Amino acid sequence: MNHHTFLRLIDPVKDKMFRLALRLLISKEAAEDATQEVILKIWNRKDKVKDYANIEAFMISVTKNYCLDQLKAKHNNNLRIVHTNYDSKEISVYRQIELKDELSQIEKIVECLPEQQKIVFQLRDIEEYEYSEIAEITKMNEPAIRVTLSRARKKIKQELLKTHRYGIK
Amino acid sequence: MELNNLRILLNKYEEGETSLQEERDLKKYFSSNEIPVEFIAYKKVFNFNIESKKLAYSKEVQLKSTSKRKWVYSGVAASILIVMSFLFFNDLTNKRLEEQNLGTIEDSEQAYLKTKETLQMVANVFSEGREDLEYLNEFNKTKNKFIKEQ
Repeated sequence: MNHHTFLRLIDPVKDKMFRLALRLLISKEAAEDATQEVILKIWNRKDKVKDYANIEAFMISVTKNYCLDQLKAKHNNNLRIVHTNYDSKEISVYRQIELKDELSQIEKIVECLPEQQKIVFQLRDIEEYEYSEIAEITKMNEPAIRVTLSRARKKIKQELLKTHRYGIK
Repeated sequence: MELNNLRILLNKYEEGETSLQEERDLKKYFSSNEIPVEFIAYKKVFNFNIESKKLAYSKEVQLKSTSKRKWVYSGVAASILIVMSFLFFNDLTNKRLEEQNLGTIEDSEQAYLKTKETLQMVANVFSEGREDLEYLNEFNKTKNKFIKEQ
């Protein structure tokens, strides 16, 4: 496998890897570093990559494990959201601020979820993976994934209703 | 979408029983329609999911140098630079010494006279300097008025 084939292989996946890393590590810089590090890891083991049936799932899985290791190492304990870019050029400034407010509100709620819930929520509701693919990535069985996802979804809604009623704390 | 159907679908969604297609339909529905107030939280969540997917990895993918190796190379480069500059400046100072004309005089008598002249000059400068300090004696005179020498 040469450069170009590898880059073509990684191109559709790298955004997903980055978003998962960002979901877990919170800080944009840490997520970028993690993505770069994981891509390099896979490149160094490129001869083995061919053996995997679903390469995309494998890449996401490596990203997940890498980020969890990072969190375990407690390197990122003091990092918080630094910067988030949402392009929405067609909306007016006022609406944009309002939207951003809403988004960061949910962002904060998701931030408080347990890691497994974060991962499953990210993979299903944002990246739109099938349950079989999520099972391959997380090494969980499908019923467990459904339960985890259901908890995450309910928790997010519950928290949203809370802040909706009492105003933002 | 009928409200009742929507409610059932959302319940299924919360239990994690919807298919991907149904979830996509929900996203589409909530991003395009006016939503009854009771579902406003869902609208926010689906909106968040759609917006979150737009985030892209903006950095260029690098396959070659790991960050660790990069520092090793810079260390090597720095040490080479130090050695080179040391050699270069050493060479330069040597050359400068060689180039300087010290005005060595071959004839011994002339050298003697020249040295004498030079030393004389130095002595003159010294005594000139000492004359300037003559006023310091004034201090002593005044001091002696008050303190009797033993």
